[in-house]
Amino acid sequence: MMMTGVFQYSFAHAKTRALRGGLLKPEDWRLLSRCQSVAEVLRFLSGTPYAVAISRLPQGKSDVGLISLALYSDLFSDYAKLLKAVPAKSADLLTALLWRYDAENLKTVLRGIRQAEPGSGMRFLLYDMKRLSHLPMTALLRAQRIPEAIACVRATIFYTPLVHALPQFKARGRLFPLEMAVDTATFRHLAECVKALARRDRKGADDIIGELIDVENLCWLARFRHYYGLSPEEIINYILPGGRLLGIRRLAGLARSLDLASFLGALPLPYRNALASVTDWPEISPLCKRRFVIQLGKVFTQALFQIRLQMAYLLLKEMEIERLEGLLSILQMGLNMAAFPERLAELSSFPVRGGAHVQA
Amino acid sequence: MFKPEKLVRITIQVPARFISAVTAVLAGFRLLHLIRISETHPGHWGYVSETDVDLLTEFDDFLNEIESFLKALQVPPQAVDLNGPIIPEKEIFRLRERVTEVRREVKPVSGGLADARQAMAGEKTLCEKLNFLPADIDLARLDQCRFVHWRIGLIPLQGLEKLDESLSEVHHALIHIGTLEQRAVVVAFGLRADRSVLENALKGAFFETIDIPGQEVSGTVGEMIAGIHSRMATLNRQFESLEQKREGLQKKLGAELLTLREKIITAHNILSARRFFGKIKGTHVISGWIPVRLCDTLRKELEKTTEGQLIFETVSPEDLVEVRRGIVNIPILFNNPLLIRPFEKLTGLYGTPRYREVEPTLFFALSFLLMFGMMFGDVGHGAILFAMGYFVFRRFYTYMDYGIILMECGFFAVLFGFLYGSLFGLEDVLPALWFRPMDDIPYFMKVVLGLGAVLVSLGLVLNLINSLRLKEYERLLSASGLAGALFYWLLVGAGLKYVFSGPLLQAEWSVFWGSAAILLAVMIFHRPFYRLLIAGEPFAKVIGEKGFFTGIAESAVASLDDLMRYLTHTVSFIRVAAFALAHAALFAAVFAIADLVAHAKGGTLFYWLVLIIGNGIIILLEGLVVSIQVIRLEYYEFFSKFFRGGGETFRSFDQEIRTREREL
Repeated sequence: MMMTGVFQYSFAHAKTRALRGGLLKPEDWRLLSRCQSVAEVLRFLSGTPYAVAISRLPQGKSDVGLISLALYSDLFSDYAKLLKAVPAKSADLLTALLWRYDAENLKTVLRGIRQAEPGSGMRFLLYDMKRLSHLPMTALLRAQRIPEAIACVRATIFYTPLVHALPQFKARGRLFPLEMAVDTATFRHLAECVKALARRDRKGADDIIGELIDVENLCWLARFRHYYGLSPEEIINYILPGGRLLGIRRLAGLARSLDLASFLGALPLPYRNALASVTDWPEISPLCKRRFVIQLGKVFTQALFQIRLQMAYLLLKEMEIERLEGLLSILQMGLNMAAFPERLAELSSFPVRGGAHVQA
Repeated sequence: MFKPEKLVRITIQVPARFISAVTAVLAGFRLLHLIRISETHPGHWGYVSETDVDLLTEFDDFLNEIESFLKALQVPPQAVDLNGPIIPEKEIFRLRERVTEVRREVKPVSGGLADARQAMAGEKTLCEKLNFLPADIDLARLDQCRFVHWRIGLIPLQGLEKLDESLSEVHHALIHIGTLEQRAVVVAFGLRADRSVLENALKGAFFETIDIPGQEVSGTVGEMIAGIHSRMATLNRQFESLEQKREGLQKKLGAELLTLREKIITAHNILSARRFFGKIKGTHVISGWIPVRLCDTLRKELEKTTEGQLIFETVSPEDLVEVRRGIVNIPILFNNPLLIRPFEKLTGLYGTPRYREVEPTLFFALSFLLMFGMMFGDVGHGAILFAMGYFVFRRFYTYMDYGIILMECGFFAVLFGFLYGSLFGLEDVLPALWFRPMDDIPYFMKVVLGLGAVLVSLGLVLNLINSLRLKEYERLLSASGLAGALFYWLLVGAGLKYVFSGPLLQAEWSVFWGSAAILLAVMIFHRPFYRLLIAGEPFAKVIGEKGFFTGIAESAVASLDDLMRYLTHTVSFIRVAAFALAHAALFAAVFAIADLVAHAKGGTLFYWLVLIIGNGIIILLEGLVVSIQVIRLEYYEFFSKFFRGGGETFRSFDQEIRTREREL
């Protein structure tokens, strides 16, 4: 079994290791946190593997939205490289991870249609996935109404869930049910792709996807309950099945918890430890993600010739870009990083480059 | 046939008031390759005509509306002939009147049909949903419950477990009564006191209520379904009556709607074409390429239209400085007979020949069919190919060209089938008029090598003609010119002598080696020879130039490479024999399998089944492989000898406008 893995993943493994070498190091984060403006961050990134993506930005443009789309295009080029390097079934799983960006693009288009935005305007808000995208983007951007847009994605995983959510959209007049349908379809597809993997790959991939779903569920619970004010009965129905430590019953209990203390108390031990320092609801998301990054880092010290290595790298890079987006947003608002000591600490302690640098 | 159609460049200057009429005449001629004034010097200076965008948009809107009428009335497509020129500025008024009248007639019927379809679909869906419920449930009575709140509807199957969990803290009952399109049909019960909890949970579970219109919630489900059936019957009657009206309108308006559509498209093209024109004050300038044979007719037509108020200039390509300098390409309008014309597409796939080059489609077509016939020679298979081609030709208008090619391939396969004496692989039914490939393989090899030598020689001759026409005199002395061709023919001559009358004599060897040495020297030193003898450059300058010896070395290697290619390309034609033999061998395999199964139970049936399926596979697989091989021989072994390419394809008036529209 091990030998098969070595044969199948030797190239992918070497490729992933090489790509991982391009992730920002703790020293890079320390220096980035010293940047005073967006332009300085861009200058710094021009000396990193993001240089190619940065060079494609229009001259003199320092809009954070555009920059972040450019950074993601670098992530997509990594996806393209690894998709070619891994076996077919494992490539399906990486492609399933990419569907999350298709989901984001689709939601952006649906929002645009709702606000009667022209397609030409929306085009610049979308992830530029090129051939990796599964969406018929030209047709979608031409759609004038929501049902028309849904008809365009007939050949994708989003179609049936969207059709099922359409009556709720019509009844409530809000995009929220459609957005939830898109998200749940994406994660359901991810879970299905894990099940279809070869036995050797399945366990490791299941752990990572399980953790990812746990993080999503916890972030959603906090957001839905305390930002959107949704009822526990409704929230429970939006829970994503397939989590690693958090099953439906446990998540239902969390949804019904009345305050932060009871919420934290109802968490399983690993999450209770990870979220021990939480004093307010907004802190849940970054700390959950931090725990996830640590878990991803550990993958690089475990059995290597499996798809989880490629998954871990891609998700780590995704988290890195999210951090960069956060940094750029703060700078664009004209604020100084020093004014956000917690963000500063978060940035400079970002555990990257695999297990060797991870400090739990 | 061997040359593209002779073209002439015309430039027309016409007062603005005649521009519509003139454009209409040009649109009628079609064979005009417009030159975009915007891409010429006057265009760069801003002398570009503009079109009436509002009018263009109005035509677009009318086109969409007419298309919708054609679709609603289900009018089948038909070719339409327009009488007389279309002047968009006038046509729009007629169109407005007529479309208003047609709209008045068509809208009630098309709208009524759409409404009836929607209502019927709604009733059908409701009926499907109600069919899941027990027929004796009385929904009206359930509504009267004082303590129980209930809902009936659909939720995605994956959501059932979560819905149950979300209601776990209140009294509830979820009854899953069926499945419809990946959704569960459920009846949910809860206490009236917990109504909000139930509603919130259902909301999150993407619940879709089975919507029963208020006045219809009476009686049992069975009675409601009966009511739906009765309403469906009424709707059906309405639908049929509207369908009759639609058929009447189709007969009455179909032809007129098709004509209107054609007029709109022509008017649209005429307006769009103005973007290609130039404009200086009150005068429009139109420029383009047109076949010489049409020039006088066009001039007369335009003079009649403009009452002589135009300037019509013609310039032959030879007189144009831009053409001589290679800045402007003369478009290529192929000029082949009907049966050869479909092969123009295959020539086009390799490239477009330049205006002065030999147009090779005829040679391509004949050699293609000859080689296809040799490789696929079988009367039965050829007849099937012919029939398939005829079917495509008659049924699929868009693929008519491919239908013709298939028919021609079929004909040549039949012809060679008779020559080989093969009918569906059976070699004892027909006498072989020439020979049977499997019986005399060495002879077949000689034949195809001969064919190879002829086609390579033809390529070399065409190359010499192209070199002369394009004035590439230096090239004539090289291995890819006359010197190379002579060397090749020397080798072929020696080969033929050996095949037909044995080894060469001593004197013949002397002539051979002497000629070969001279030709090799010419090929290797062709550049200095040309510069000294033809261009008249001084000896010291040619010899003393830096890189002289490197150039000679390169020339020697290139010459050797060219000569080797000629030989290998000739040998490459052995594949014609190889695939012909493979064709015969496949037959043998099919017959062997058929004989094997013939001894089993029900053997006769299997025998014929294997023969039919085997023949089908041979036709499809071998047909495809043979086509690919022939195209390869044409492109690689034949075209590579002489084809320069880089020409511009002639685009007719309407093609050019469509391209422009896409660019915009």
